Amino acid sequence: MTDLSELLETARLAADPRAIDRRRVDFGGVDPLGLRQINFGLMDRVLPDLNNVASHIRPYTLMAWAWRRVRYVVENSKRNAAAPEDMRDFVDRIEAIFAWSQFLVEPRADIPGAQAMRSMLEASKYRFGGDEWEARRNMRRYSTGLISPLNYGPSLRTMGWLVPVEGATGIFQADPSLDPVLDAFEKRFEDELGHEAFNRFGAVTVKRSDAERWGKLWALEKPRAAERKSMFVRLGGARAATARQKGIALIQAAFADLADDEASYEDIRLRMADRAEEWGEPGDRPPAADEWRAVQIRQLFRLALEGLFFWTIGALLPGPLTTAQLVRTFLDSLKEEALPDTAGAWILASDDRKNPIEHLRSLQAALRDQAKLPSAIVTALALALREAPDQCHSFENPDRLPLSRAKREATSWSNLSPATFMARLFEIWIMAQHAYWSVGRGLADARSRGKTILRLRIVMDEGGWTLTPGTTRQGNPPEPTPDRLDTAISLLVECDQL
Amino acid sequence: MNPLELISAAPWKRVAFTTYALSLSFFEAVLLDALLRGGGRNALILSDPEGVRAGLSEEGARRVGRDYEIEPVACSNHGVFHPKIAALFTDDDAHLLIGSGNLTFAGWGGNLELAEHLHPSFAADAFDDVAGFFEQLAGSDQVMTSAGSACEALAAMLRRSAQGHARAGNIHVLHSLEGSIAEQLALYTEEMGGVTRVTAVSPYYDLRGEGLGALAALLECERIDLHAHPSGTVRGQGSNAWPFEGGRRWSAINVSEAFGSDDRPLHAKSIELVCRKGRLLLSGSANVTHAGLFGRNIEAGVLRIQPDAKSYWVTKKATAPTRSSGDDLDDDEGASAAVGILSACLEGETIRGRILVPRVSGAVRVDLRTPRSTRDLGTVQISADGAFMLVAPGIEIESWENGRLILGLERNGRRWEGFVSIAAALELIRRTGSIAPRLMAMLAGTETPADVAAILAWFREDPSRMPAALAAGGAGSGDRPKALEAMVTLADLKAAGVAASTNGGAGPGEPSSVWKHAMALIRAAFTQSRGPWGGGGETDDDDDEDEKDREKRARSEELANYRSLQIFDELLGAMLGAQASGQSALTALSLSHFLADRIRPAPGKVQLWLDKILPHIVDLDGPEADIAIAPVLLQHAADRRGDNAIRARRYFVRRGIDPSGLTVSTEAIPAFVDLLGPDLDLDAFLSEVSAARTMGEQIDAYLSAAQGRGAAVGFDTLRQSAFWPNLEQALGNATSFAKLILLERFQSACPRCHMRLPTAAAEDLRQRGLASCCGRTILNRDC
Repeated sequence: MTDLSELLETARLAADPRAIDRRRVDFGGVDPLGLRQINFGLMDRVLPDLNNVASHIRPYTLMAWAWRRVRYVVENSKRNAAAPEDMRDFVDRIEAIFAWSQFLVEPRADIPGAQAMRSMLEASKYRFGGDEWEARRNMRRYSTGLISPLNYGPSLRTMGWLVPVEGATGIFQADPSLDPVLDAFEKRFEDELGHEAFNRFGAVTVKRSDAERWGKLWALEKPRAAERKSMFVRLGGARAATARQKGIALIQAAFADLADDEASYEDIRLRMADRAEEWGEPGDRPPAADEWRAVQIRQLFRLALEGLFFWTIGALLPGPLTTAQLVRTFLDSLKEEALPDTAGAWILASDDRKNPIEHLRSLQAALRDQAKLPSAIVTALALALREAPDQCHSFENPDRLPLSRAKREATSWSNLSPATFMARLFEIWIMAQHAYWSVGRGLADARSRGKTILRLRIVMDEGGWTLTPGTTRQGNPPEPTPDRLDTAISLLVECDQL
Repeated sequence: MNPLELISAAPWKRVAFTTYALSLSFFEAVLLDALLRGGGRNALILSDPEGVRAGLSEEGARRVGRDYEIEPVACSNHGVFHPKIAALFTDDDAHLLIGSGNLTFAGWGGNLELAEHLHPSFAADAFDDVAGFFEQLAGSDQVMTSAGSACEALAAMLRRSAQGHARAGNIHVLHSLEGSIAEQLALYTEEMGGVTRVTAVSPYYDLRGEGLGALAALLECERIDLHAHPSGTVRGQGSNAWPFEGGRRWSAINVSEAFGSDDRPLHAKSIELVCRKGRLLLSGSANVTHAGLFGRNIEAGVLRIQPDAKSYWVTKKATAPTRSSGDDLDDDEGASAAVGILSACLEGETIRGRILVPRVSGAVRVDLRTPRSTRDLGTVQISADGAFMLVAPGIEIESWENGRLILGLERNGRRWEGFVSIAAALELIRRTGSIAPRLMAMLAGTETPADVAAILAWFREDPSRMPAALAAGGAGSGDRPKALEAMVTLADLKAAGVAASTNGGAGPGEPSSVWKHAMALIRAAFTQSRGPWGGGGETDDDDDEDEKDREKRARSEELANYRSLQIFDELLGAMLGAQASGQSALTALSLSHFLADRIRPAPGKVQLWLDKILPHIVDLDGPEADIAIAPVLLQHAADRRGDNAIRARRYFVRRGIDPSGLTVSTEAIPAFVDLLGPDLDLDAFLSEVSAARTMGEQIDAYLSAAQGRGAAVGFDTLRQSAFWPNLEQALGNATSFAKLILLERFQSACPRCHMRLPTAAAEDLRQRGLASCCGRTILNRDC
């Protein structure tokens, strides 16, 4: 914040009026229409508590073991107690050693933080103490560390590997029922447990050769049978949330229905979203497939609208356009000789029954070509509106444009001409939605004195819709929200369940 | 200069802007943002109807009328309201920004604009002048607005801020409500010995140079040089970048040092008058047109009076711009077809308003548009002065949640529209200070972890701010010791493993109805289930390419959540303290569920909250009591002790509720269910509770049987107790029965010998209703 007295002094010294500075704008934001949160909500109905990162079993075991080891160290201390920060530091050290060891064994190991770990890979030893370690540790806690909220942190808790200790933030214990699993895990490196890194709080030094040796003993991709079993119980078995049990069963059913050992993740994704008649055995299609299709329909809707937003930025780059001009440009790009008289006979008359993921992929391809984009958007919207539910879920805030609201509004516009229909769509679903969410998020940042970025890209000005000053390029095209399926499949494969 | 720096430089308590053109999305995304960052609030926009009209078309700008006010100001003489003034106030200070830029992206940095930042310490005269401007705005026949009282208040604040400051006389504000800008300018030139050179910088001129001609005549200066901006000027509808048909008397020059090197389109307006005794420099809103300098428009500009000036604009010869097809004849085409403008305010269920332009009277149809619906409100009578009043029931809550109410009036195909200000929201902003934006976010369902932490801290500071009738205070203390991170013991680890206006009222007296209303809405917001905040790095606005941003957000959200839990624990003490008499227990329950829902803390934490809160709920008959029934059942069902159904029953019976008449719905407490027992069958448990009998009920049944008033059934637990032989004997023997000691209320001492019972015996008596002393059996009916 600029100091008021400085501003006042400058003003006092001014002899003439001053020119207003050009605004220096930092643009940002990746959810221009505020549609993404509903996608997450829908994913939670199929694959809750997973993210797109935590896709291996071993880190779960390791973190549970590390916290159990904390207890061991405390039990062997004189005071039977320790400062929380010492406990966290111990666990941070174990997981950093684990990551270090995995990158030493396999530089492309599938855990976060390869870049940040690079300097350690060259070192012959590393001291887990002092400023360098503390800086690294603190960074890992919120970014590349396994416990980070961006990685395994949330699911370690929600899947029951770690239990928070009441009254002590960031302190956990392993679920006691995991003891046999952790014993089995520990067995592989029990001869190494004498190292001070596993036995005391505070600074310790670990040699690279030690880490390399341990890396092979607790290798990322070699979970033991007990670990696999324990993970499956939590992923899709008795200890899993009911929704995830059904979601995991759907993955297995889809894979079985494909009857192809070489089926790719994308094949499974498609089959999961297929209508019953597309299944080899329609009777084997679990009800959760409807939920999964709903996820993909929403994905399609979101990408179609964000695609339209992206197209609009491209259309406005040369200069402002009115809504009517935008609509004309858009409809002209469809290259259809004549559109029906009403939207009801046009975009709302679709009898498309294809898999939404196929449209999603077509749309992704069209997003690289401004001229072909309108046609892909219309096709995508037609299917999304056709399959839109009548009711919304409780987590679907109307401000986030749930499909049920979109369907209601689109239906109310069905008697309008395609041009008028598209004008409403541009003004309400794109421009108003964009302004509302851009402003809302900016003000949330402002209330917390957070980052100052301008998310608003399109504004109304003389001459019509125009890009906010400083917008000079279309930017990257939008992408579908990763749907957690890759994570679920990876874990299932490691569990020997797929 | 960057005027946004001034907007965010202090916690302004009142901010007012005047403008002609208006972009509400700019205002909300940029100015409101800057205002909030500085802790400022209470913004008012006074805009020409043209600006309001533009705002009406911006469907995405939804905070208007709720987070800030907009009031149209129309000129009755066909001119436009054109000044660009920003007035910013703290309690005892004020600043002014006066310039050429409208409240648009272009006006705040996109165009080449000029602005003056003034303060009473060196420009007290200007504050007097602007105070006069607002006073005249409130009272002038030339002006149509409903913002008269707001303008008078602004004027008073400006005058107050300038009190005690020296009037140097070198900086004044000229405005056209005092007389034409040109005529006022001419008076100053006379004092300065007359004009020798005039240089004008303006984006617009009259096509035939009428304004220029009149100015030259008035100043007795034949020649006026015009700055021909190398990068062109902002194109305005029906405007001319040059007096193309004004003859050759106007020379094109380039005021190179001041403006020439700026490659933005020119929208600045300034006139330098070189006089025999010094220099006059005017800058502000007035274009060098007849309307701007002599005519109908309402304009304002800063005049710097520089006697014995040594420096002047340096100019070079330049080429006049060529006329393009975009330079139109002066016209008003389209203006008559534009939607008319009204002003309105919602107070409770009543909307009061006034049609400003064009005037109409008689019956009109009314509709009210919100972001989610349009309602037909029937017909209303417009009085001769354009005023109207109508009832709009049920709209207020929606308006608080969504903002942006647009009132539409229609007659014979002609339409008037205007924003409706929500009086209560604006009052809330005024009274609650810097917490207001967070409360607004709470109401709109867009609150962040930091908002919730701040709101809880605000409640903790003064628990009387809490919704509902919490009378308790005292928990808040500015000197609260910093929470220390205690040692975590082995026992903790084991346990975890096993467990797998700022006083808020209308002043010193009773809280105002507005305040109560607002707090009731806040409380209602806390009862909503909004689901967990996106954690796990999967939130909607994260830029995947900006890992640091995600880390920072994750860290700050985690800290905010931690803080919320800490504060809530402290707040709970105040809410459930003896002074509160249980009156806030339901609010505490709502809050605890809200936090459980949003933050998803450890189940043990939630269980602890319920253990504390539920005993304090004294009344289950009230309209909000339903929200307590499911948590009570859930808490007891999740308790694995064998007598959980009996204890649940006792809870209800003690509050005069027969469990068999209850139904259970967990819809309102999804987070409690998720955290405490997603697999529990509460309907089945309720059946168990209905069938169970409390020890008190069993003792009553026993007593009835012993006294011959009932059958010897319904006291199975008594039969299984160690005291049964005595009790059985007393069933048929009056002497034995007389030896029983019956308590209506638990007490820890024997009523006969008055000796304190051993701890275990006392606990048995309290919990299980039976104990013995003095060789007699004691029965406690109150359990």
